[in-house]
Amino acid sequence: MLISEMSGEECRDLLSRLGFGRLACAHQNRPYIVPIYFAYEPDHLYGFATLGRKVEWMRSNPQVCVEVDEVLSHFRWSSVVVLGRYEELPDTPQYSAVRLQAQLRLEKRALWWQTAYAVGQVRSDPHSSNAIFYCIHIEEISGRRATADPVESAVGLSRAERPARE
Amino acid sequence: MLIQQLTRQESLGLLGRMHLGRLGCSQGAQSYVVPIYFAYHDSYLYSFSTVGRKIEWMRANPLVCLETDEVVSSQQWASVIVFGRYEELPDSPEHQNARAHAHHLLERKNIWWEPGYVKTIVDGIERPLMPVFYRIRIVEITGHRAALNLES
Repeated sequence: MLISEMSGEECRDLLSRLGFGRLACAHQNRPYIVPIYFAYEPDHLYGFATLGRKVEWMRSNPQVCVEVDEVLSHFRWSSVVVLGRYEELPDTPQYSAVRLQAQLRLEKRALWWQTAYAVGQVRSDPHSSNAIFYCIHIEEISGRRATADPVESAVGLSRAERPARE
Repeated sequence: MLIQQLTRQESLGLLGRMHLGRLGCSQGAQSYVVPIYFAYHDSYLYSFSTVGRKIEWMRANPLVCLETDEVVSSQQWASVIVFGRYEELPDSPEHQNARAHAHHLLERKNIWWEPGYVKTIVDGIERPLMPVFYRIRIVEITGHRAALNLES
């Protein structure tokens, strides 16, 4: 297996293609991870949530991390890590344009609201007052990719390509 | 769709079936999350890595979080979140048993790869492969499951 760095363009391609990842935030030295759907635009990600631990933690500490990956096997995967800053898009005149933009971008992805409701177990819809739209300003992007090395390619199916024994 | 909380036993059962998860650590205000392979056994998650940002951060702050999920469809999935504490298993006499145990568990799940097979090239520099074995002691575990609501 060969692990190499992905170019900025390759990282951005993965972000825009997948639109699903894990968001980590931290509070008092304690990290927390949740799955999220997001919409990628150059320099930022848009997301949607309902009020809960994640939003409370990001309000008190806006430094966050988003990770997306595509795992084909133990030896073939790509992973992109974004470090960024959380900004809430409240339902006020000042934010109405960017909030609408976030909503339109997110609506292009089917089922984008589901993880938010799963976590919050809220029975309302994305247009209710419980809806929290946010933006993550990207400060740093890096990506790693694993590929089969010449030995593994020659052997064909490498040992770890077989499904794991349960 | 119905979303239910998993019992502790169900959450541990899911951890035992899964081997891919996302590990979160933090330094100061900044959090960091990366995918890892792990093997669960008896209150611990075992894994290994090469030295890098993740290991350096966990050495400095051992409070970590791991999320893993089993997704059948967008309406049928289960997800578990573990809060835990990082414990490194260095190559020293008192950690030999735990290291051998970790190696055995990871090999059984086909997660272990032969060190000679892995090459990491970052910034044009080949990083020396020094596998670091570690485990995460589970302090708190929560899980949720979504299932199709057959009545609707």
